[in-house]
Amino acid sequence: MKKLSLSDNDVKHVAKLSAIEITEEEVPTLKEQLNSILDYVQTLSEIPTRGVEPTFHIHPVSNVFRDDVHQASYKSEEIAKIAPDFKDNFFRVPQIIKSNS
Amino acid sequence: MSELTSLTTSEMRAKLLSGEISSMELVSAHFDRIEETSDLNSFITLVKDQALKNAESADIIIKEKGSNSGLFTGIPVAIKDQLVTKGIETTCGSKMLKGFIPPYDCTAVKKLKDAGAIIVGKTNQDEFAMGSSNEYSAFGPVKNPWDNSRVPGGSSGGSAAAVASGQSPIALGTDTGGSIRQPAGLCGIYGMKPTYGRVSRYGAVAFASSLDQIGPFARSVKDLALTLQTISGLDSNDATSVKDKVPEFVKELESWESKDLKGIRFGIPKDLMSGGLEDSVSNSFNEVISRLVKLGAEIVEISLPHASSSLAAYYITAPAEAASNLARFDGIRYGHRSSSYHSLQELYEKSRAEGFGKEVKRRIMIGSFVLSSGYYDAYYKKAQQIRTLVINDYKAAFMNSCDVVLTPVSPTVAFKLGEKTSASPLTMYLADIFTVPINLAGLPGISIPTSLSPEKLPIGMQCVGPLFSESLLLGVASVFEREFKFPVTQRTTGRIN
Amino acid sequence: MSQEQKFETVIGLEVHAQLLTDSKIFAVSGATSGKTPNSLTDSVTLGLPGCLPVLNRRVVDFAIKLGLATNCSIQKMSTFSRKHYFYPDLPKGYQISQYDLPLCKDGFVEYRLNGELKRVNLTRIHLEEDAGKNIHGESDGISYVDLNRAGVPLVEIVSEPDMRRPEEAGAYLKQLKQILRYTEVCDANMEDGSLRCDANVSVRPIGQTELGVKVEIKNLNSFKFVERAIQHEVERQIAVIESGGTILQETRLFDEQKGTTRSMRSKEEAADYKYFPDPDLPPLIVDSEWIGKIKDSLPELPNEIYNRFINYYKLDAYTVEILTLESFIARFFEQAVAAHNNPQAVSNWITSELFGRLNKEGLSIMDSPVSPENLASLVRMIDEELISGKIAKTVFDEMFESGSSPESVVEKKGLKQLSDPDILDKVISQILEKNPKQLEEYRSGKDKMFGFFVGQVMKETEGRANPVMVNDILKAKLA
Repeated sequence: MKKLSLSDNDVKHVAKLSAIEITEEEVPTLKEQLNSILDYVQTLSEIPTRGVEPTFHIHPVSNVFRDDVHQASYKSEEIAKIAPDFKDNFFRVPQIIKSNS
Repeated sequence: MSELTSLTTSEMRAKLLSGEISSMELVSAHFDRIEETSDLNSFITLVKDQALKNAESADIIIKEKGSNSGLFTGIPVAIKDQLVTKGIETTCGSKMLKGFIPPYDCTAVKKLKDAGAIIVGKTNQDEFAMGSSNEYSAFGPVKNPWDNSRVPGGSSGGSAAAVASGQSPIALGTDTGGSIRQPAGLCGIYGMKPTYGRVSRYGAVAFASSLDQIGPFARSVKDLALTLQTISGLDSNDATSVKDKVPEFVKELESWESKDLKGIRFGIPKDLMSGGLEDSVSNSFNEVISRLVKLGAEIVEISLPHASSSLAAYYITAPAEAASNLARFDGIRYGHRSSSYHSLQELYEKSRAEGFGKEVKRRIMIGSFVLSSGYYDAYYKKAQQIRTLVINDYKAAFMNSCDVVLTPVSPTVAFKLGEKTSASPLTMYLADIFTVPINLAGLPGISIPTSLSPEKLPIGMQCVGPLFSESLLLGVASVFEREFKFPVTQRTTGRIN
Repeated sequence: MSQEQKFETVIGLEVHAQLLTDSKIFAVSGATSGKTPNSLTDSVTLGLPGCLPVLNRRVVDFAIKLGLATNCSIQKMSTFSRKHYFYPDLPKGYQISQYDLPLCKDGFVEYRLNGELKRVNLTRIHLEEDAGKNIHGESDGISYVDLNRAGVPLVEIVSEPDMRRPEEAGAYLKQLKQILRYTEVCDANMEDGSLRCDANVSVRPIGQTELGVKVEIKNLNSFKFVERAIQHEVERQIAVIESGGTILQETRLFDEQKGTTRSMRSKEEAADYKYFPDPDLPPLIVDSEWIGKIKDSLPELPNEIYNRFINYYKLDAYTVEILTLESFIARFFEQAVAAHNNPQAVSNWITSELFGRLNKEGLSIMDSPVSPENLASLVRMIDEELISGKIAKTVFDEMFESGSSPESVVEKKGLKQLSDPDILDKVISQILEKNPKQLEEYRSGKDKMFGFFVGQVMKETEGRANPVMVNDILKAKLA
């Protein structure tokens, strides 16, 4: 694999992907830090892994289920206590202009 | 009464049952100690009023039920702020969750509470458990009880410092890449990361789900065993918790009282030990080895060829999972919401920019990058393949060569505050070299304090066993405890400078 | 239309169906709808820090059932992944969905269109969680988020691009709805959103083998709109190509009011979902025993019933289509036929009189005041000439009003057919006596006066006279 390093635009794109606002001033430092981490983790590409199964779960556990029985929900007062803007049983956010789900 | 803060929980239990002390006295003594050593900054939240009220009830329960009461009845505990506690503010060391009062309890916490334990407060930590020095906390760094100018390690630095300084006899932490074992080592106490799945992760705010595990800190191996016993077990709320019956750790530990280490093979992974060790750590390690031989242990050199790649695999896996797990912090249902936004997009981006600290943001961005379109195979999947290789390395070692893998916990003693945060983030990551492979492999690991460096800083050893071998590790640790007689209570009373 | 003949349309559908479970797919709160906003919200549904998903077993049962009913191969191992995007109705910032290893693969659905049997192949059926709902304020600049629907179990049924006309898409979707309802895994109501459909549409010049550029159309909230939106999109794409333009790969939104589609986002703007296997959820392993158990519980499926009705009851295709629309209609029919074996007459009564009244009252056949057995008795009484067909309609109305059996209605109202020759003889004699003028006319050759006398007999007997006997007796008397 070719060594990859992020450009200013890549850093901005990754910040967008992460939904984190960054300022122009932050870009150079972030770029340097992210690239030093990426440089380091890219050393993995030198290790041959052809045919090696990835491990996504430590234990060979499967089929963990719950029964289909519903239980009580939180009361709206409880939700209101933790939510930044909850009124008339709704969470409130600025008007959604563009649908992207 | 200050010596109350030096006792183990079993000693406290005996005194409580005999009526020699009350839970009120015990809990009060700990709050006095917390106040006296508040410079350590080991707590984010203290719940003194509630704790004293609970102590009052505990005293009644002890009177009524005696030895039938829960094992931890009336005994103070400290809980890492990464674990949600019903009705007690839980911040994960982040501005993002400042003021967040969870409506439910973490399973491990609930189990301790059910055993009668009294929560004194929520301990300081690196933000969302990302860090190895506790300097990445939105609530300021924690200081090492052995030297105020040094870090306690991290991310569970507050829990380690609290137990080392006598603020609490035991504490819970979380360990994703060493976050229990490393601060335990740097603070001179015992800490354990159990086998993945041994303790339910329900209510541990997820950092890297495939690596996270809750575990105990204590000043004695027995307390470690007691706490582990209490918090372990299958939980229907965590599909990754395991069915395996929880052994009677405490009982099994008793069988080691008369044992030495005869016949136990300690594997020294030569691949991991090549360079990077500080002299004092290196010397201490060699001394431990020669002592082990005297205790009948067999020392074998083993090969873990992929262990050194663990760090890179870890710094892909953990950020990737973190980027995913922390996506829920969006300022909509709970947590920090920016006060200046004009659109939904701004609400997200500003709330997250303001709520998260620098290290968390870096890791989220790295994680977002490695999972983004076109990079999954080269990074996340590759890291999980490495993980398979690491697992196989350990499997082979345990099958062919050794019972326990022995390394230092950390290549250095506690470093100075600011020493590593000013450098590249990578410098801090490299401190996790001995602890990280264990999380990748899901294995249990224990951190055992063995000696003090010339500058009187604790040095700890890590023992790692096969999956579900906590009993063996506790047993081995108890022999170390007996033989090395590390002064765990040296900082539990008196002034801390 | 001549332009369209130069092009071939290629359509594939992605259908989401909500499963009829009691609780959510990974959480304990109820999966019902129509509740107070945010009143079905436990810790997992809210995505509270520290919460973990645990899979609802019944969701798997339902998905296997659907997979078997659509001829899929049920995968021995399937897994869950996280699909990331930021949106207020998505509490965790990711949706748990099956990605590279879905539960069901390689199925097909057969449907009939204008008497022709057609097949749509299914790529896959996978499990995922639904999102909540954002309600967009009109003028206050605020959107309102309700998470009741968040975490409701969904199956996504992905078809191959096997359809060539909008009507085929409509017919396939109706067939799918029928299967979902027969298997009782989903109530499949497009208007309520328990069945949702996105269409992938492309066109290509006739004869070209490679597919054209695909456009995804979202927001198709009824069967009518599915066909209409595809039709419009086909026309739009052809117009673009004909005028020398190129089709952009994009997602378009159907505007119900205007009947047109408009661009929602281009391929470049498409979200980067950052898929990766969910570490919180162990793999799902389905063994043959589990599949066997579900197979045994599988009901007779729409096409099986359809074929059986055609072959066994010898009914016409149109009638069978109606009788098998819902399993409970078929069941009603079969219960009635079991009580009285006249499939043709029973089906006529169901599809005309009974449906007529049910529709008028806004009732389902499940709530029919007339039981299948009572309907069967009514038909039997006609067949046994106890009542006339005309009287039967009056009896039916009374049965529908009161829920009574036809016997008791006939008894109570004295509607039994008059077949006593002595009585009929007497009545007819009286009528002939009372109408000498008409009798004269008949005898002088006015044949149509015969009908007049029949009418008078019926009037006198309030319609109860056996018409055949009336005919015979009249003929004899007038001869």
